[in-house]
Amino acid sequence: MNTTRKCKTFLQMFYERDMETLLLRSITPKLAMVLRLFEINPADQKLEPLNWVFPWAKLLPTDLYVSLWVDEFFPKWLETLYLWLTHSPDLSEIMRWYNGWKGILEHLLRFPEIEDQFRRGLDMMNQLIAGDDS
Amino acid sequence: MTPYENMMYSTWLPKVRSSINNDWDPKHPEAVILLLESWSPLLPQFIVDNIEEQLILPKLQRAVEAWDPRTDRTPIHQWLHPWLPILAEQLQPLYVIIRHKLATVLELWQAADGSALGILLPWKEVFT
Repeated sequence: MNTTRKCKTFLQMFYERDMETLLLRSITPKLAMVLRLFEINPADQKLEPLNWVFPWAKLLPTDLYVSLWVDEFFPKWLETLYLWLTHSPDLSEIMRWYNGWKGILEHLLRFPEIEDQFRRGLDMMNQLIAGDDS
Repeated sequence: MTPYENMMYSTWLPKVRSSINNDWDPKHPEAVILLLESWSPLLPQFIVDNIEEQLILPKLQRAVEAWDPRTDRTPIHQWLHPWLPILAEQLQPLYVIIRHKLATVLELWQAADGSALGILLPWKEVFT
């Protein structure tokens, strides 16, 4: 019994490293490309490509999956928000958009790195409001 | 070799060998697993080893080598994973072939094709 368990643990470690190599080589570059090419367009948002990425949360190591979003999606998302805020913003509309994305990416919200990205968006909005007031 | 072992080796094993080699389809592991499990209290270890190393593993290896992830309708985990508790780390050489084949197929994979996840996911669940 003990031997079996020991073997399995060894196998597990051996295997998981290989699985990660396979995922890193074959899967994540293509998912990164999907997010890189994804267009954020508040006027006409298409979400289909994101549905190709979401299911991989089940298999990719968490840090890898989260960093895909932080590296490939959020810079663009924050840039869109910034452009919107600096060009005739309608804050209630922006808030609706912001919360809409929180809904779409709900499965990611429990990760501090993602929470951080949304907080940066919120800070940006607050800065703009503060700037308007002064 | 005891007389009992000798009997098992010279009478029982050749019949089993012939069945596994000629009649057994590796894509249906149940029959051979059932045979091994029900006979295991009566089998000397060297016979078990012989069956695993000389009969089952070579046959599984050929099946894995013939396996084409693009066209085979039966997912490979369905006929390989039942062997995990029995063959354990002896299956490792097969994983090398499987990963190599998967990597080759995944080179052409498009992210919009959800089938890749379906092939890979069972390999994670076995070990978690």
